[in-house]
Amino acid sequence: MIEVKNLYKTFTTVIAVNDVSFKVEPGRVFGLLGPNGAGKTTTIRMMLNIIQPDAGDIIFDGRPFSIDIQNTIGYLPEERGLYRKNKLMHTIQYFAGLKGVSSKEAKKLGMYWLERFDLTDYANNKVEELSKGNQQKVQFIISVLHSPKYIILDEPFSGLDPVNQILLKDIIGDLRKEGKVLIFSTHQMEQAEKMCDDVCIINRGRVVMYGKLAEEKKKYGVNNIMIEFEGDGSMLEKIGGVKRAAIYSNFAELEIDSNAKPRNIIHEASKDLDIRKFEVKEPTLNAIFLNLVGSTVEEVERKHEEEQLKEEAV
Amino acid sequence: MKKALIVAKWEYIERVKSKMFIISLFIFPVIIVAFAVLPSLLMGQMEDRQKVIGLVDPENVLSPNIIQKIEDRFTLKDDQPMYVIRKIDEPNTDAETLRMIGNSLVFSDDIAGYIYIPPDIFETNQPEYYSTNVGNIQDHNRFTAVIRDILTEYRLEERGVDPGIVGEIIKPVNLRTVRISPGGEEQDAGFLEIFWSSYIFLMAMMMLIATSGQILIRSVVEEKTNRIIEVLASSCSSTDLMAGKIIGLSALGLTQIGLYAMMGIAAVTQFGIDGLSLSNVWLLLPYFIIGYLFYAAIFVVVGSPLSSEQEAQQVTSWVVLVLMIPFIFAFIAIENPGMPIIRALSFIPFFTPSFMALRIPIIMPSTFDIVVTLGILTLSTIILMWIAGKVFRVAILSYGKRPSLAEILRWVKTG
Repeated sequence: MIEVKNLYKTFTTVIAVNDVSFKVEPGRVFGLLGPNGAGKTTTIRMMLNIIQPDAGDIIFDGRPFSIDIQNTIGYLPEERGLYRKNKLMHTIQYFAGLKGVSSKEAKKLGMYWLERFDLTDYANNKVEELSKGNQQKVQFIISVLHSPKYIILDEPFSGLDPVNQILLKDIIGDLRKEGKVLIFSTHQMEQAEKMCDDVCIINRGRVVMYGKLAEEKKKYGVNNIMIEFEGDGSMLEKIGGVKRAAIYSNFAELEIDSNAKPRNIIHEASKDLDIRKFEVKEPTLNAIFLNLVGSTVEEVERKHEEEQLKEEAV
Repeated sequence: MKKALIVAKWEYIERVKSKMFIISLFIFPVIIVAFAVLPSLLMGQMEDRQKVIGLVDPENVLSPNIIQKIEDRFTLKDDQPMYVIRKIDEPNTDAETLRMIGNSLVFSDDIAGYIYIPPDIFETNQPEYYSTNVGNIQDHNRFTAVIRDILTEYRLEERGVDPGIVGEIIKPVNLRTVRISPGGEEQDAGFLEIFWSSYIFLMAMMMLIATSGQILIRSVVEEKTNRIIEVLASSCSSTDLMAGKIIGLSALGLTQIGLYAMMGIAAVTQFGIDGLSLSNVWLLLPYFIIGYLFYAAIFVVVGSPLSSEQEAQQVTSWVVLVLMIPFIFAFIAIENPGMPIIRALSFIPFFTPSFMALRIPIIMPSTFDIVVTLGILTLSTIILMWIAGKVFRVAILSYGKRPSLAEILRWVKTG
C-alpha cells in the first residue's frame, strides 16, 4: 500500500499540489485522474522521489522512500521515448540494471516479455527500427520487467492501437490479480471508468473527489441523462430543469434538478433535435467532474493552456 | 554509487561502439598529421630525389671547382649526391646562346634549373640562377654558400694564403640548439620540436574536452527530448546520473588518448619522426584530469538546461571558443614562456590546464606556480561540480524555454 499524506508542492508562481492525500491499495487499480495540468504528474514525481515535496509524507507499506523502495517501483512516464541507436535488448538490460536486476536475469525476463508482446524477432534490432506502437510496448516492458511491487502508469494507452490497448488492458488485469499496487493516471475519464476500482480526481492541485468508483457514482445519484442526437445541441442547456450540460457534437450528458422530469426534457429536446438515444443513468466521471468543478475536463484544459501561453509570453 | 557505475558502463560501452566515436577517433590524428607531419614529410620526399642542375660558365671561371663542391657537400640519405651538375658547354658559342640552351633544357624538364656564372663575377659578386620555380629557398642558400666559399677561397689564395689554411678558414658553420633545464640536463631540441610537443598536448587536451563535452550535452539533451530522463530519474539519483555520465565519458576520452598514444609511439618508431620532448610530461596529467572535470562541470551547467539539439550546438560552440583562446597565445608562449601575461593567465582556472600544457614542455614552471595553479583549479572544480549537481537536478526536468541566468541561480540556491 502507498499512503500519500497532505502533500504540498509550490513552483515559483503556482501551487501545483495542494494538500493531496490518498491511499493506494494492492490488488486494485487506482485512478489518479484530472485534466492536464491538474498536478497529477507532479504528484507522481514526488512519489518517485524525482522532486521533493514542500510538505507531506509518502509511505510505502509503512516505510519512507529509500533506494530499496526505488528498485521496487515501476514507472511508465506520460511522454516517452527510448535511445534510438541502441539495440532493444541492450536498452532493456540497462534499465533493468538500474533497478538492480542482473544482466543475465534481465535477458531472461526481457525475452519473456518480448514474447508476450510479440516482439521476440526484434530483440537484436536497433530501437529506431521499431514502429512507434512497438516502441510504446517496449517502454511498458521496461516499466514492469523488474517485477515491481508498485507500478505507476501515466497515460499508458495513449498512442496504442486498439489491438494493443486490449492486450495492455489484459496485462494490467493480470498485474491486479497478482496483487500489485497499481496507479493509473489519465485525463481521459471514459478510460478510467472502464479500468479503475478506486479514483482520486485532482483539479488545480486539489483533490475534488476520492473514493471507490462504484460508491462515488451512487452518491451522485441518477439525475443524469445521456442523449444522442442530430442537430445543434447548444439548446439543451437552456431547457428548464437542466442544471448542467456537457455537450459534444452529437452526444450530450445532462444533469437535471432533482424535481425535474426526464419526460419533459425529451419533449423539449425533440422540438429542435432528432433524438436517436435517450437514457437515464448513473453519472459518468465526466459528469461528476462537471458537477464538482463547474466546467468540463476539456474546458479546464483549454483554460490551463491559455494561462500557460500567457505566462510564457511574459 | 553502484548505479553511477551502471550509468558509466552504459555510456562508455554504447559509445565506444558507435559510429560517431569511431569516426572522431580518426579525425583527430588526421588533423594532427595534416598540421604536423605532412609538411615535413613532403619536404623530406622532395629532398629524397636527386636534382639535375645546369651550369653555364662560358669562361670557366669557377668550373670545375663548383661542380665538385656542390656534388660533394650535399648528399641524400643514401649518400648519393643531392645535386648532379651538368655543364652546358658548346664550342664557339657565346654566353647568350648557352643560356638559351639552358632555358630549353629547363622547359624540357631535363634540368631543374641552371646556375649562370658571369665572366665578371669577381667584380660583381653576382651569380644568377634560372628556373621555372625560384621559390626553393634551401636550393638558393646552398648554391649561394658554395659560390661564396669558392670566391673567398680564390681571393684568399690570390693574396697568398696557404690553400691548406683556406679550407679551415671557410669551414661551414652549423648552429646546434640545446635546451637546458634547471636540473642541469642538456638536450638537443629545435624550435619546431618544442612547438609541436607543446602544441600537440594542448590540441589533444582541448579536442578531448570539446568532444566529450559535446557528447555529454548531446546525451542529456537527447534524454530530455525523448523523456528517457524521467525513467532514469525514477531509477537513480541525479547525482548518480551525472557522476555516471562524467565517469563514462572520461573513460571514453582516456580510451581515445590511449589509442592515440599507441598510434603516436608506432608512428615514432615506424617513420623515425622525432619532435616530442617527453620530460616533465607526467606533470601534465593532473592538469589534464582536473581540467577535464572542470570543463565537464561547465558543460553540465550550460548544457543540461537546454532542450533542443540546435541550442546544444550553439552553446557548445561558445564553450569551445573559450577553449580555443590559448591557441592564440601558443606562439608567444613558446617563444617567451616567462612572459607575465602567460604566467598570469595560467592562474585563471579556465586557462590553467591549457597554459600549463604550453609552459611545462618548454620551461618547468616554479614549484610555487605549480602548487598554486593546481590548488586554484582543484578548488574551483569542486565548487563547480557542486553547482553542476544542483543545476543538473532541476535542469533535467525542465523542458521547453531555456531558463534565464536568474532562474539557474535560483536553482543553485534552492536546489
